[in-house]
Amino acid sequence: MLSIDKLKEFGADTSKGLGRCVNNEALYLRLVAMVPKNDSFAKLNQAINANNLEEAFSASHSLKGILSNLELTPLLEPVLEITERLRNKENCDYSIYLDEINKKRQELEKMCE
Amino acid sequence: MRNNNIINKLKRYVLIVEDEIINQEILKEILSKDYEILTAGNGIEALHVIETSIAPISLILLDLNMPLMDGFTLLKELKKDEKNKNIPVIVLTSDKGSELEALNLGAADFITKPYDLKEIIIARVNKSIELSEKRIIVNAEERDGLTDVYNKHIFTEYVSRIDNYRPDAIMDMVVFNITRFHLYNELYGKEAGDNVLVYVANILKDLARENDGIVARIQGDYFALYINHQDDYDALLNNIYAILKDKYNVSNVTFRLGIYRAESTKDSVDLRLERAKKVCDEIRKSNNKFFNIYSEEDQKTQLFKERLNHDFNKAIINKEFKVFYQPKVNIVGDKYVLSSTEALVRWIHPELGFISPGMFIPLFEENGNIRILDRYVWREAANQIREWKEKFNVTLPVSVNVSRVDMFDADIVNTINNIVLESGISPSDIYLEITESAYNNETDQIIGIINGLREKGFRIEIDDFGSGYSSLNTLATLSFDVLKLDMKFVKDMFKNEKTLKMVGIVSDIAKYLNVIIVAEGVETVEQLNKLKEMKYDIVQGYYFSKPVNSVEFEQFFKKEF
Repeated sequence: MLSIDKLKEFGADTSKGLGRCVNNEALYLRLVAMVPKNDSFAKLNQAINANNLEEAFSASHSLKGILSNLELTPLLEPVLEITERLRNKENCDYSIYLDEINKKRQELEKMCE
Repeated sequence: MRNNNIINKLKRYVLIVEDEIINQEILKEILSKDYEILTAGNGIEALHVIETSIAPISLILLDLNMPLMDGFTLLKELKKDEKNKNIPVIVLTSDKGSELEALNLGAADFITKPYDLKEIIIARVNKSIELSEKRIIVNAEERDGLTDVYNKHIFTEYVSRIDNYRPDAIMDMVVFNITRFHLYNELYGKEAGDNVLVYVANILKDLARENDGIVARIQGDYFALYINHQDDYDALLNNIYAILKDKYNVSNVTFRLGIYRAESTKDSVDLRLERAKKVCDEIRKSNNKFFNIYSEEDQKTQLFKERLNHDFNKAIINKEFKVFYQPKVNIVGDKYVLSSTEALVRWIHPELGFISPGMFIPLFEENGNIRILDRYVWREAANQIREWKEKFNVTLPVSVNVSRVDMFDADIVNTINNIVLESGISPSDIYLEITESAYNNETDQIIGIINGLREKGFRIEIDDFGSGYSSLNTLATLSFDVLKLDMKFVKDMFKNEKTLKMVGIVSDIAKYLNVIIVAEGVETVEQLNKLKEMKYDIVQGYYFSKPVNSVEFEQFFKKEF
């Protein structure tokens, strides 16, 4: 079961995230629990694998919006990195960031079980 | 905007266009206390929501990256559409680069992701809505200088907003008028009058506030209220009188109210206001009513009446008014003989067909057209007398009606006399039926006119006797030739013993005063025999004939009754 304490342990800035949800804890936890299932993770993976940087940027950009709103810092950080690189269409190894993103997504998913 | 709490309290509709449910949910949580929230996941959905929303969208919060139709495309689409181009749009973005492009495309503001503090978002939304609404009324002075309530222009604008944002509310449009306020001003002075207007405005302001509504001074001594539907306007009025007396020590003003019940708001604000005012003004004519509620049925009757008024002049020119004649039969002797006839006007309208005189006569009495119609009938009748005289070598006198308003015409004696002379007949050939109620007022003037007419040789008949309030003194003072019993008495003479006795007494009065007594509305042989027994001289009614046109009437010259 997801809780504020678990999220704090995960590294999320829960006080900011909660504040954005008007301190409605139930809403905040419900929204965080929706994150691991968000389509954009799958889209990002597929686009990187297909070397479609534009699609990948669109997916990471979407993730950036929701993760920053919920202040899920450990997941947000690699997403911010990859988004900026994708924006500039950098020729680099995106799998480093992708692995980190997938790892943190899984951690969060576990917390939600 | 100062003091317009009700308007500010109205929940505006805000549309969030954002494909990420999480972001939608956060914004909803922030805004739903102050706004009705609608959502769409992309530009196409957004256009559909705007189209089908029950209330106008006051603001759009727009994400830029979305599938199917993105934010930029939607923004361009909105700006192209006359109906939607003024909806303010706040762009939701996490990219600095997009902000300028969005502003250039006409976005009102932007909110960055991650979202700012709740208070900042609410303030930005409020500000954008207020700015866009203010633009609509930026040039208008909001309030009436004397009473500090809204003026008519702003009132109608705000009523529209209430309708838009509270589409399910049941509201009444009430026009509120101070009765005979000009007299108050004359009696107590303009300053006192202005004070009363201010007191009334203050009371109505409180009343509006308590009933989720607004108030305006729409002209002089007219106020308009738009408030939650009320079941009991008597109680509301009494409450206002009580406050006026207790708080302001004013007890000598009364009000009349015209109410348009807002069962539906499909009629425009202006129309509802106009109708409420109209039914308010109609109260002037009746004494014991203090409020009047607009109804569809009344409206139809009103429109019909307006049509009749509108068509009146044309009808006179085209001779659509036809004069019919009903025989008056002398029943004194053994043989019943035609003694005279009454001219009765009918309107055969080219489109509406036969119109009952019961419908148009009161209408023309009210607006004065009856004077024109009466003259038309007098002239027709006078010509008819001459025509019959030439054709049958007999002078058959014709009774014509002289309306109450004619009796206020100082030149009436000459007018009637000239018509008669122009037609080549004599005043003694025309009998003038003057309704009893005409004698109620201005007795000296009436006596003067009647004496003038009699001196010229006209015969005066008091019509509808018993329907009005003429006293025995009036009968004693006036000089007249014929007393014509109101037809109600004949109709009810066998239903009620007292009525029967009254029919006899009126005959006795006529005999005593040495005038001819006439009964009208005679339909049965029993009525006829009883009237004969009671010494009635002349009768008129369906028993002998209904009113017929002049050609049909000619049979009576040859016939015995």
